[in-house]
Parts: sequence; C-alpha cells; structure tokens
Amino acid sequence: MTTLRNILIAAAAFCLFCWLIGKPIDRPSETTRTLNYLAEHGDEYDLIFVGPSYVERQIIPAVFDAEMTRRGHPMRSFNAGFAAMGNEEHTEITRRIRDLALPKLEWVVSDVTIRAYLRFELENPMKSRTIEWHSWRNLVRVLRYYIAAPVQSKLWTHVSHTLAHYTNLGLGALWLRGQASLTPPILESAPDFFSTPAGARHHRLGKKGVSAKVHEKLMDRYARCARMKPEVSRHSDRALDIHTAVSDLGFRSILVIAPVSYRCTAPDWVDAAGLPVTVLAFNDPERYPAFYRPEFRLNANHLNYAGAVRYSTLLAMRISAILDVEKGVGRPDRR
Amino acid sequence: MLFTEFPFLAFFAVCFGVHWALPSQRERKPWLLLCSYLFYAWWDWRFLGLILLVTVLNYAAALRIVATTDPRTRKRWIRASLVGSLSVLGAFKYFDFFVASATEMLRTLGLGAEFPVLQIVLPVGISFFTFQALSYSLDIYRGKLRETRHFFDFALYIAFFPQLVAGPIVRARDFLPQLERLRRFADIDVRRYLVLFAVGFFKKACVSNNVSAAIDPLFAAPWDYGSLDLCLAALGYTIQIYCDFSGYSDMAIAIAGLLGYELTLNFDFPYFSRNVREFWRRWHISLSTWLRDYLYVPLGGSRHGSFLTGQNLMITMLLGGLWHGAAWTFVCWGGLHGAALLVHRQWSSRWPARADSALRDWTARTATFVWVVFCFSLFRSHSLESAAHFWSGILSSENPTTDVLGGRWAVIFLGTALLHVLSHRYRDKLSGRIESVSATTFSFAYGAVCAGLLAFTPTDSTPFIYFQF
Repeated sequence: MTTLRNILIAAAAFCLFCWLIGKPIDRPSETTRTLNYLAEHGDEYDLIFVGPSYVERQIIPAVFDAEMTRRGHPMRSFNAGFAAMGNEEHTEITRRIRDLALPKLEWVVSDVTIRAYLRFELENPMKSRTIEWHSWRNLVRVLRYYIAAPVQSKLWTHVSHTLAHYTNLGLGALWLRGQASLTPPILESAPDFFSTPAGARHHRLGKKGVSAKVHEKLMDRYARCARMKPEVSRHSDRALDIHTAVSDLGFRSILVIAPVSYRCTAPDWVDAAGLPVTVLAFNDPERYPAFYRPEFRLNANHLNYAGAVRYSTLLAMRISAILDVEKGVGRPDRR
Repeated sequence: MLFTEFPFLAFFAVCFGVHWALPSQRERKPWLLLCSYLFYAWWDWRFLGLILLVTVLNYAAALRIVATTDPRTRKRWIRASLVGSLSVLGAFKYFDFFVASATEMLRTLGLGAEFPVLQIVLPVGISFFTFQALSYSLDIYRGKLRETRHFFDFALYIAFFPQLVAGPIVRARDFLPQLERLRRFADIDVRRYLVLFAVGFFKKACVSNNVSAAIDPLFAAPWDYGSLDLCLAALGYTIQIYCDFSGYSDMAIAIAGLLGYELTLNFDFPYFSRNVREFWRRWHISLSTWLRDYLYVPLGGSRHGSFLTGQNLMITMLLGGLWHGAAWTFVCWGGLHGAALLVHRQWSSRWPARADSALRDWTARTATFVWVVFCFSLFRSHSLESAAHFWSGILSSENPTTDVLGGRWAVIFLGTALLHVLSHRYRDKLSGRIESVSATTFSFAYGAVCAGLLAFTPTDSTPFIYFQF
C-alpha cells in the first residue's frame, strides 16, 4: 500500500512538473514565427521560395527582386527555406501558406535537390518545427511516409515527435540546443543583412571561399557522384509529388535543383525524368562552372555569400526568361 | 532497445514485476535468462546463436579443464576456448579491417591485390560478452575460480541484460556466487538505485545526446570549420563519451541492483586524474583491470626490467585500443596512451612525487585532461586523415572562421563541467541527504526530476557509443 502511494505521489509530481516546465519553454516554432510574419506582411509578395537549406541559405530575396525588376518583371519574393526540409514538411508549409490567402501570391518555387525520401526525421531531430507538424492531423501522412520508407525512418522517432508535440518531452533539449532563440532568417531579406557578420554567421555564408585542397576534394566527390547511376525514378517521384501538391493548392509551380557537389543529382536527370513541369537545374559544373569555383563555395553542400548573390541573380534571369516566354518575347528553356 | 527509450522502460517494468513475483532463484534465473535473450534479440535475433556459441564453448572448455589434471589436456582446452572465442571476435569484428588494411598496404607497395571482405554487421556488445566468457575460462584454468555445473547460471552470467551490450565487464567470481543467494525485495536499496538510474539517464539522454547532435557535423567535415569550433568539438566529445559510457554503466548498475545483483564500478571521476596512470585506474575500470589481469600480467607485467615492461605496456594499450574498434584511429589512440604511460613511468621513477600542493594538483589534473581531450579527438575521428584535418584545423588560420558552436555551447560545456566538479565534491553529502528524506518527499522529488529529465531528452535516439565496441 505504501509503495502504491509513493508511486501515485511520483506520478502526480511528474504530471505537475511536466506542465510547469512545458509552459515557459514552449515557444512557437521557426515555421510558425515565419508564417506569422508572412500573415502580417504578406500582401506584398508575388513569389515564395520553399525548400531546404539550399533555399534558406542561398537565395537572397532582395538580390532576386532587384534582378527581376531590372529585367522588366518587378516582383517581391519571400524566402521560406528551412534546413533539411523534406517532402511532407514542404507540402505542410505550402498548405499553411495557402491558408494565409495572400492576395498577390502566384508563384511557389520549390527546391527539389535533395534525394527522394530524405531522412527528414533524422535530419531534423528535435527541431521545434518538426515537433510542431507532428500533430494528429498529419499522422496519416507520417505513417504513409513510414510505410513507404521504413528502413530510413524509425517509427519510434515519429512517435516521439508526436509525443513531444503534446507533452514537454524534449522541449528543454530543444531550448538547450538554442533552436528556440533563432531569428527566422527570412525576415531579414535585405542584402545588407547577409553581408553583416550576424547574417553570415546565421546562414554560415562565409565570405571567404574554400581552400584549394578542400575544393579539390569537393570536385572529386562530384566526379564520383556523377559516375554513379542517377536515381531518376525516385527524384522524379519526389519532384512530381511536390509539383502536384503545390499546383493542387492553386499556385504556379517551378522546381529548382541547386548547385551542390555531394549529391548525385545528375544534370541528365531532368531530361531523363521528362517531368511535365519547369525544372531549373543548376547542378551542372559544365553549364554553371562559376558555382563550382572555390571562391563561390562555402563547402560541399552550400555556396558562400558571393555564390548566393550570383545564384539569386541567375535564378531571377531564368525565371524572368520563363515570364518572357509567356509574354511571347523569349525562347523556352525547360532546364 | 536503449535504456533511455520507452520500449525498454516497458520491458523492464514487466521483467522487474515478474522477477520479484517469482518465489525462488530457481524460477527467477530462467526468467532473467529469457528476458536477457529477448533483450538481445530485439537488435537482431540471428546473433543469439553467437552468444550461445560462445557460452557453450567456454562452459564446455571449463568443464574439460577441471575434469583432468594432465597439464597438456588442460592447455589444449584453454587454447580451444581462447581460439574459439577470439575467432568469433576476429571474424565478426576484425576480419574486414585486417583485409582492407592488407589490401591498402599492398596497393601502396604497387601490388594491386584485392581480397574479399565479409561485410558482416557487427553484433552489438560482442567484445563485452567474449571477454566475459574468456575471463571465466582463464580463471578456471588458473585455478582461481570454481567451475559452475549449472549451464543456465553460466548462460545468465554471459547474457545478463543490464551489462550485456556495453559492460561493465563482470567477472564470474563476482557474479556467479550472487546467483546462489536468494534475495528479498525488502533488502534492495531501491532509493539508491533509482537515483543512480536517474543520474545515468541524465548523463546519457540529457547531456550526451544533446552534445552529440551539436558536434557530430564538425567531426564529419572538420575542414569546414574554424579552430575555435574544433576546440569546442574536441571538448564536447570528451564530455559526450564520458556521459555516454558512464551514464550507461550507471544505468546498468542500477537496473542490475533493482533486480538484486551488484555490478562492479566502471568509472570513478576519471577526469580528475592527476596523471595518465591514474586515469586508466578510473576510466572503464572493468576493461582496464581485465587487460591488466589477462594480458599485461601474463605477458610479464613489470617483472622483467624496464624495456620489457615498456613493451608489455605498449602491447596492452595497442590491443586495448584495438578492442574499441577495428580502425587505425583506435589503435593509435591506444598507442598514444601507451606512450604517455611509459613517459609517466619514467618520469615518476626519476622524479618521485613530492608533497601535495593544490597548485601542483590542479596543474597535473589540467595537463592530464588536455591530453585526454587531445587523444579523444583522434578516437572520434573517422580516419587518421580526418584527425589530421581536425588538428591542422585547430592550429591553422586558413579555414573559414565559423561560429557554429559558439559561446552558447561553451557555456553549456562549462556548466556541465561545473556540475561534474560539484557532484564530485558533494556526492557523499548529497547521497546522505537523499537517504534521510521521507518516502513522500523522495517520491515527489523523483517525479519532478523525471519530468525535468524528459524535458531535456531529445526525441531522437542516439545509440550508446560503446555498443559498437
């Protein structure tokens, strides 16, 4: 009887302290804070970039907008990129953007560089945004993902993220890792933010390029990747999933492949897949050699600040070319 | 099934409840053996055969050894036990490593030979249970232990789930007598073990897992990071590996204790050591003593002059390094510690320790700690080349200045270190205080602490580092 009483006391204290601890450390995720900002200022935006770190760190809206305006297509863009964003999260964020009913928003540009079935749970453990979208509403989608790729995703991770959504499980760890203190990067879309030490630190957009030794390693990795058989079907499945989801939500969709050097996203993939959608593929050292020069790279995955400026400019050139074609003044180029 | 995951807590609740509900050791031992095999099979049921093989081999060899007085027959059976157990370890853990190293060496010499590799998944905890089995056979052979005639007792000694996959490496002479004694739940110091479990859980889940997530990318690509980040990563890993392994050991001791069994102490605040020798007396104690008793001493120990002593020490440390994993980084790590032990030996024989002073004490502790941090950065690196990148990154100003870990993690590391110092200084006082509070207060505080622990537990699971060894 005494043991039972002690267990009950411990359980009561546990529940009480779960509630007490959960209160102060439970903050809206970076996604929610970003979307809240968009809800307040969203009237101005025509185009939104959605995707993983290749969007978050490498697309500078102010540079993009300036180039679009210079080319006769004045536009306001918004960077809604979050590190290691997978398909499921992409769809969820696009849906939430749709729900905001932004009056001018027409285009959603989605980055599809990362492999199909990215281990998004494992890439984003304990991030507030991951916990946030593990709600009952998304349970079916999560389970579908798990069934599709059980090897790459642990059911326990899904379950624990869902538990964390409804309890204080892991919220302190989240705070500890400093996730909660991050400023949503996209709010700082002025080019001078990216060039400041704070911006560079936040986005890890070093101003220096990589050393010759690192660059050699990086290109060697690309060459090895290029020799491997491209995962055409998986890539196209993933890209089509995103395209369909974005189109179904009523947006015009463009897909982008960023200039990376560690993924085997062979440039031929776009042609081989024959997708019924515009894919702007920059993952090609022959066609876009500048992105693979040491002075434009931060590391194997990302461009540095100078590279990001160039990338944003080139994106604007390619998208304005698409708009030119629509106006009947340009030649189509689907790659 | 990790000790910090809900599936384990559910498993243990059932195991614990049924164990204490059973009236005698006769029923409890098969139940614990069943639970232990189930626990191991959770990872991969196919490797149960491996544990059984090692168990049967060493059990049979021990019986054969005691059955005869003929030295040659006894020697033949101890050899069979050694060769059999080490072959299992060699095939599953080291074969691919040696083949790959030989291929690489021949390629360097211009001989392009390719040898087939097995590419077998490393069975969890294989180094631990083979060493336990070997210690039993060797003790029987040396006449230091009486054999057990009960196969299930021996099987339980090898497979006892609290220490099966990551130690401590228990000696048969410590464990087997415990199987004979009937324990009553009322005799168990439940409060002590619950606190120990919470401490272990905190170290593993709240410290190690969080630190791991922060520093892993830096060890994966050290060339991408600046020197400050790399220094913090090296420090972070030193914290991580201690919290990971000693946390596991604490939980293992607590779980075994709650079932009525005492396991040996595995860590004794090793980062407070004043020299490398003391460090190895406080770090992974069950392995250090195993290597001392079954490798260093049989090699001759320190009985045959300084040269042979040095040689024995280096052999022991190199093999001890290799025990941790089939990679040159581990061998070199063992070699570095071996060299440091040799230097310390020479130093202390020429300049014996003088009277203690606080300054000398803390200087020695700091120097030892810096050495340990340096060696662990090699231990953690993926390859010797990666370690070279790591160290050159620390010294070089060529790398881009990054601020990935930054001040936030420096503060967390310092906070963890301070907590460690305080727990070292006030542990006796604290445990006395815990013992003295009423059951109601303890239960309430324990519930509150559990809530805090879960709040700081990342939801992603990170395997224990020593599972791979």
